[in-house]
Amino acid sequence: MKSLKSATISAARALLKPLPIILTVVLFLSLISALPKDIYTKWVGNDPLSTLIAAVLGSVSAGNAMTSYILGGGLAKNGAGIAAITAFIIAWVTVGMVQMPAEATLLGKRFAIYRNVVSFLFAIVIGLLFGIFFG
Amino acid sequence: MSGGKRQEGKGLKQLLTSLFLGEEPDYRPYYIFGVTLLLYIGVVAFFPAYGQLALSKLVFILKALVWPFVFIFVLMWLIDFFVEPRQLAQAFKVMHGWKLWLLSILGGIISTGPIYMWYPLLARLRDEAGLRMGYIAAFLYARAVKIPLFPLLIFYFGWAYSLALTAALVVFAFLEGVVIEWLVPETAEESTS
Repeated sequence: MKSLKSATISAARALLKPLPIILTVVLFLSLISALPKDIYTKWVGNDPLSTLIAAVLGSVSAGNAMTSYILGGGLAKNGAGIAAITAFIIAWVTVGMVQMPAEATLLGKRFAIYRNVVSFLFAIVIGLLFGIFFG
Repeated sequence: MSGGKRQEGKGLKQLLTSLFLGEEPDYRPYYIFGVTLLLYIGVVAFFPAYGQLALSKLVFILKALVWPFVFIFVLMWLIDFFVEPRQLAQAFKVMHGWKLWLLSILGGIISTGPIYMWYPLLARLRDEAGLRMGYIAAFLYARAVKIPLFPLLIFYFGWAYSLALTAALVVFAFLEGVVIEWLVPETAEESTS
């Protein structure tokens, strides 16, 4: 067990460090939320292409998962397709393009490439499944 | 100011810097936020009707995020307080079979901090305890389940979606482990060469 102080500092840091990025996302979301809702249903749907693009965007994004939830959740509330949003959220946390060099150095190049490719494909599969059940 | 007070002030500054900027200060997120804020002010100034609507949405989003953030802090604190990476490493050394799959997935779920922080520990477990790559992949995939962020997930997507997503991530963590075990079956030396 950690000390009370160390656990408090660690939890506070995990929440405060991503704060500027979260606030940036919230600013964008409020602008997006003020637009007519049919824009999202038109552009971000439950189709495979939207899901693929969302998974690519999630894969190249980095940072706290909280940001992806707020961004994805905000877009979903405005009518974006659940398949694309799910693929985006999952790819954000399971595919790490930014961390790949570190992963390849410490755990092996082959492992890092295969793991990220499989995670990317799984994000699309889960996204499409969720599009069927929750779309 | 006395020497003691100056020292105290320096300590507080150091703590606040570490809380808001991390161990290695990174100002880029603040620059991005600053630029976005300026653009936002511009939009509100030039398109007052749209800006008013956006501002009301901003207040609504910020208010709605307060409680999920409190829950997230409490859950993060609990996990940070009770989970030690060393204890996890010890458990990995003594388990095998389905128990090891379970531990890999549970370990991934309760592990905190950035993913790259875990690479050295996992590499050590692979080299010293012969932990296979499939288990490491399952551990890394299961990190997608974020227990402290569950209140936020429920807030945006509801209970049914949140529980289904968690269940799917657990199942796919196991599947990823199996697939990686098949694709990268070797452990230590071969995989880094």
